[in-house]
Amino acid sequence: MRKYRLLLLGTLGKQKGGIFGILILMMLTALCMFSSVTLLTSGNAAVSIEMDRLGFGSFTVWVNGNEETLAKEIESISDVEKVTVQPLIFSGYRIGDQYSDNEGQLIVYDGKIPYRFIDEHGKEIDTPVIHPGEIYISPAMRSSFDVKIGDTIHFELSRQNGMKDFTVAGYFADGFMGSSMIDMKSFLICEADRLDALSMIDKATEYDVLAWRGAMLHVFQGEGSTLNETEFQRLILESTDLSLYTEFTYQKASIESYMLLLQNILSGFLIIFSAVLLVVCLVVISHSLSAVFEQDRKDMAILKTIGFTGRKLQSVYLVLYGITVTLGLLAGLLAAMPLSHAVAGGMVTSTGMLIPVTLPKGIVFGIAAALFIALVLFLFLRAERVMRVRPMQALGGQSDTQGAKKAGTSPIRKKNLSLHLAVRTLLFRKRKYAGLLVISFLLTLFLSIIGTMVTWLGPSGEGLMNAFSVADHDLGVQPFNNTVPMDEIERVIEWYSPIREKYELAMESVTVNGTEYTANVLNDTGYFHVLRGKVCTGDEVLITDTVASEQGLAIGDTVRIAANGRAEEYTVSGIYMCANGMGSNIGLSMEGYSKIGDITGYIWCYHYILEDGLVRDYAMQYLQDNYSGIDVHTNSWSGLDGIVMMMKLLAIVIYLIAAVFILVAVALISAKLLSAETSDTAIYKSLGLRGKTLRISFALRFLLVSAVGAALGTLVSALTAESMVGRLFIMFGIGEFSVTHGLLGILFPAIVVTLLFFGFALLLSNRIERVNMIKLISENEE
Amino acid sequence: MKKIITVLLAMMIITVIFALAGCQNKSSDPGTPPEDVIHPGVSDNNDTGNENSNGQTFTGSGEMIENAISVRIGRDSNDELSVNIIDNAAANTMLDYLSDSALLFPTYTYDEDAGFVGQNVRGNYTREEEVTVTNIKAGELYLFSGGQLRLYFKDVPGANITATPIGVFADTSVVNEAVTNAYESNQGDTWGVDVYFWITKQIS
Repeated sequence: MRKYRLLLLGTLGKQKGGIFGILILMMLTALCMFSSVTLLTSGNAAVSIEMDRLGFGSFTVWVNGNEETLAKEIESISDVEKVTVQPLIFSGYRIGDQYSDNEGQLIVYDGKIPYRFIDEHGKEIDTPVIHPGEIYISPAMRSSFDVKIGDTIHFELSRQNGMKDFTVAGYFADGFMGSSMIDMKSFLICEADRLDALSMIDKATEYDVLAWRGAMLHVFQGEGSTLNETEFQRLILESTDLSLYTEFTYQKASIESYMLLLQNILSGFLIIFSAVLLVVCLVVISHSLSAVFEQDRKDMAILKTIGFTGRKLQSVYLVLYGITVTLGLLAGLLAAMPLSHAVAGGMVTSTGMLIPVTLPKGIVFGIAAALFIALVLFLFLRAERVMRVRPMQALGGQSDTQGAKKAGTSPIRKKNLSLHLAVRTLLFRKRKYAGLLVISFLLTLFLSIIGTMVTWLGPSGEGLMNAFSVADHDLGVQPFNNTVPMDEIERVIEWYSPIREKYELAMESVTVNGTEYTANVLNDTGYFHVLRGKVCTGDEVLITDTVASEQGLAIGDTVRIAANGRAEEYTVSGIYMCANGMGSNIGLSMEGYSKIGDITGYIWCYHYILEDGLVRDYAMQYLQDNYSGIDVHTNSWSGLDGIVMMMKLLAIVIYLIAAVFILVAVALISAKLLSAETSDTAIYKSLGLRGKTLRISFALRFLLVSAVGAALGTLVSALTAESMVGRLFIMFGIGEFSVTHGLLGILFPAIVVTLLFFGFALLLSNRIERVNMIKLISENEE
Repeated sequence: MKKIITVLLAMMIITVIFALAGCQNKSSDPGTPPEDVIHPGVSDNNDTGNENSNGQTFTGSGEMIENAISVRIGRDSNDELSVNIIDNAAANTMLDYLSDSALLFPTYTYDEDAGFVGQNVRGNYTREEEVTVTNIKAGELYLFSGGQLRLYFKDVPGANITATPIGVFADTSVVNEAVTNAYESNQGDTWGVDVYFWITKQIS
């Protein structure tokens, strides 16, 4: 046992650099995996619990009046357990110079609904008393409006002296629409302010009034009900007058998806990335073990001659590397909790909630156990090579692989000597570089996929803008009455940039076969992003992949679409893309919608495509400052900046982790190679080659191998990235994913990976220059 | 070999510069539009007519465009009636809202005594082409300053209205009976609509 311990410690001392490197790699992999899994599960559980705690129903309907009557009507249905009413006031608002795209919802905080309150640093605080003039907001508004405690929010209740101002007193966790992914926002005020606001609304004339009363109806499905979510919602809509008063409806699952969209995307990518890192770890471990066995072959042979069995020797490496990867896993697991806490705290301004981070013990234990078993099995198989060491042959200087086919060589020329030497060594020892090739391939592939996503996203999030909007546009202006001088507004827009195209859009609530959806109505259906089939005429409808899936519809099917108590049959003419509402929407022509809806009202938003889209924000700001009775928006939304920033940050983090992995992998591999090539280096030096030449030649081997791996990664990415990401995006309602790369965009990950391999190899090969030639030769003779 | 290293370093620098350049997408602030853009008539009285987004002048020739649209009066009607539209700014703006598919257009105002059905239409229209009409004939369409479009289904002598003429039915003799029948058959409509019209644009 003492001998065994000495051998173990001796091997550890000899391999400490490699062991430490593998420990770092395993720790990073485990950290990445466990923190992303923790964030994913904690977030989803927290939002669901918070929604239940705050009283979100099986589905919740936002209505614009008649709430008490509707609640009684719904409660009379046998499948309904109960309906709770949460009154509110819908009103547009302005913070500084920035106008809201959607009406805010002013809700009275009377303590009945247990909202949680958060301080500026993301910590939960005691329930405050809200005084008149004070307002509590979602922390997500800090990222979308840059609003702080003490700032003023102006709510425009009516045109004539109808501005009601509130001072931001703090933040609350809005479990229904707090996320920066949701443009609609709730605000908590006191009862006195609510009554004052209602008084202002009631006093305003029909022409002047801008805000209106409303309520959330939380509809709870009875335990005995056998209907699924969609059937239950359909039953309520068809059995009551709810559709006549509905502003919008959301099922619990939809809100959960919205609330955690950003966090889920982030976690999903990091989980995939950690799987890539795990494979890289395995490659590095494999290479490290191979090099160690090669290097220690003679020592192993001696140990075998003095009585150490092959199995015992194998167990030394198994224990040493097994402990290392286990420690790496544990260290990553321990670091994952504080990291998850920090990330969750940092994401308060995105999720709008303080996510209580709890380690999903079952899942983490399962992953850790699976990883441990897989790694031990892998180590066991790789360490099997010890069993094949034949003492007599090893001590006699023969290789275990003697008789193997001789590798091809390359001639050496004086010109570009370093390059020729590198090629020659590579051809001679190409198996030793296979690991590098695999690492380079995997990292380039993953970085290319991330690059594809970032390219699609665009510098300002144009990819998402176009995917989520019904049709491309730079600026949208919706007039609410006939006093709005649209000709003047168009002249102003033209001054900022010539208008290239113009069309009109209305977004109205309809039911399709009894299920509520948003109908995107265009006066020119040519602007719809049609994926399959054709644009719709007056008797036809376009549906998204989401609706097709939810309703079991295909092109050519007939659907019954209803609005405002009127219904018509339409034929599905095609599938189109609009991720708005997670794809829960349909497309109609103006003629088609006119059969079930009144098209003469001020429901139309004029969409403009500008020659210079970059000036859209300036034009929007000017119009918002100088014209009333209009809603102006760009193709963006408040949460978009967060997504763009997060994706760019994710790309940077992934590049940094990849760089660390390359550094450690190069350090481990180059150390083994340099050690194994001592005699070659000595011979080359004795022939008069300078250390600098040998160093460059050494780094060029890494460059050449990683370039091949990177080229393969780029090729596989070019062939598969779009379809892979496209499949992922369908989950978020984005039916089409296509990217046009520039040459640099395609090559960027490959160039970075290759240069990092080259740079680190050059940096870490300095011992070639430092070590004395005579010493090298004498070491080799020993 | 130095050349190779120099090239590799240059590639790295170029890559970083390109990557950073991709982040620079903000346009410089063009300021605010001058007064003559917002109120062109104040500084330049020579301007006539309105311009649409493409810079086209809408003033029009004032001549009649034959069979510009066809109209069915009543939700269940199959009789396509031809309407001639006057080539002016307001009528052209309205034509822009129509397409070659039938559009269901509801009207909520039926005035038996004044002899018209009317409905407010969206859009901003110039009032420069308004005229005063003393005697109105059945089948004539007018746009009033508040944005109300009226179809007169009766002759109204001495009406003395100020409005922009939009068009006239090709066969005026059928309008009265068609509107009256549609109104009577539409009583109790879900939305409270008095008369429905199906409107189809016939010109491109």
